[in-house]
Amino acid sequence: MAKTIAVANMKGGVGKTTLTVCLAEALAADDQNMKVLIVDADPQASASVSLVGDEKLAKLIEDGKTLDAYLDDQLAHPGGTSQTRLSNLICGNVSSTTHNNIPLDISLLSCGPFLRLVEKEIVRKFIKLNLGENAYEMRLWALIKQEFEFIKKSYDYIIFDCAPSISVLNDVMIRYSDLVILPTIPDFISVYGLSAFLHTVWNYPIGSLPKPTKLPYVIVTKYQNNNQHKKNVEKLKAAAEIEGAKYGIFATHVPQAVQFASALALANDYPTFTLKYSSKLINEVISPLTLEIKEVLDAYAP
Amino acid sequence: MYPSVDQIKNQIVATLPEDGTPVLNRVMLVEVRRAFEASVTPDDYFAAVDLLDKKRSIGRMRGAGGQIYRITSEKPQSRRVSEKSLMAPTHAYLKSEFVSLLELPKKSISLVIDTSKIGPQRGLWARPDFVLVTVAEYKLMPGRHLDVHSFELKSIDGGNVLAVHEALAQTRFTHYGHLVWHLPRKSGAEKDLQEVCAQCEIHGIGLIRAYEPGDLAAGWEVLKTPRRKDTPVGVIDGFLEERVSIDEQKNLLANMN
Repeated sequence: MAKTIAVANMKGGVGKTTLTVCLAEALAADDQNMKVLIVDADPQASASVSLVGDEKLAKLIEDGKTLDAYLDDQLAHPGGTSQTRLSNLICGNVSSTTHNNIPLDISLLSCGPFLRLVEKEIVRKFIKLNLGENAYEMRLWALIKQEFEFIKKSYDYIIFDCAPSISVLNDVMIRYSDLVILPTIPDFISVYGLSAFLHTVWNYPIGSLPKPTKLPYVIVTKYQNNNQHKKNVEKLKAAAEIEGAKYGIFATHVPQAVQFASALALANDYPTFTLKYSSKLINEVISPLTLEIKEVLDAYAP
Repeated sequence: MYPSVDQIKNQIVATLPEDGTPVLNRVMLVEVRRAFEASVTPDDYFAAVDLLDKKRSIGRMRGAGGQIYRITSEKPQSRRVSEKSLMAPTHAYLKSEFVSLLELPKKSISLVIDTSKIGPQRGLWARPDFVLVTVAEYKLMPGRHLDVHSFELKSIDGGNVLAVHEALAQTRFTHYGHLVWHLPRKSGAEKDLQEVCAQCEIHGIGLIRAYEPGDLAAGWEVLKTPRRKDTPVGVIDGFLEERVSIDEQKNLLANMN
């Protein structure tokens, strides 16, 4: 049964998608028997386009093989003709990155650009039926649970790349995941945004969904060796160490490095894992971070 | 659905470039897995490759996990010329055609040095394949003017973004960096040309394409001219001291003074 990770933050540009793809590749390279599924839950579709390419993504959107199309069929316009199981929409073996001459076993549930419109449409439909937002939340929660309990049997890790926002879908994915990772740049604006995000989702959740019980974990991203970042990292660490802390924090920081940006290499680049990230980055950042994440996952979902 | 070895075999044949350009096994395995959306095992993949090899539908090459290519009547696999074999024609081209393209003033001297085996054993991208030193005297500019070019030579399958970065890294010792790429016409690697050109443009690296390395007059083309780098004089001096023989240094000094 797969362990589930949500990579979320309502602030954009903190490196969610880059981290998602890098983490998926690191988990798949660490043990090449592992099967990893990336669920693109962001209508910007950055993970999808970097993994399958724009041509294939256009075909998936056209064929309705995306998360937004599925939600539209299931909740906004039920009774459509599309596939009824979410697992049928997954593209297997999408990664062009290889390790020890074998492609990394990464699959993708892609997202189209209409996710936000679909969510609005669903809310409108529920209101029309005199059902409130709570009903939508519970229906979506039940649907995601039902589908992913089935999908989980075929993978070792499932990573949700959440959109930079607070939405019902993000709320559901955060609650469904064994571990929530919060990529955060240690600058004033991102740290400020992190507090607001934690406050909204973990401290005072509104609605009918169960309150998240496990502490989310912050990953410091785009770290630069300057005073501002150092100070903010210290603050983040201190807040994670107090009694009643609202989050945990990983000791490994993701530096501002071009190699990380190359996580989103185009689908037909065929890099090797080592060439893509460099041995230095793998040894100093990616491997220790993967180990830390695995340790937390083992504690959260033994 | 997991494919049979026969289906994998057909997929390999359908994916291999028509012109016989070799494809790395790891890349073909990516394509096969993507096509079937299934985790095709290396065992099944190589079972399919063995069958195709036995039928002489494909050929195999060694190195980097192995490569395969479609066997065609034109034997295009011979289009791949090793970097070692490219060294002599490249040296000849740089000495003659390339130097003439620089339109140096009369009485200038130019020196093309094979530096592929000279320089530190350790250190990343510190050994250009060739270095061109020019010493020129202009009408109005005082003194003599020295320029140093570095050249990174790549065979057909070595031309990529990384090669541009390699040529760029070498400009930490020189004024101009060039990538020399053996890329015959209608080669499968032409698909990468646009990206390589774009990267050369971004980084100010020159790009020389060798269509037919043996044909010095018509087999070469300068696709991008490099931008001059502001490399410190002391660094260039140290670089030349290490890479240029004593006799050549004397020759340079004689022409500088």
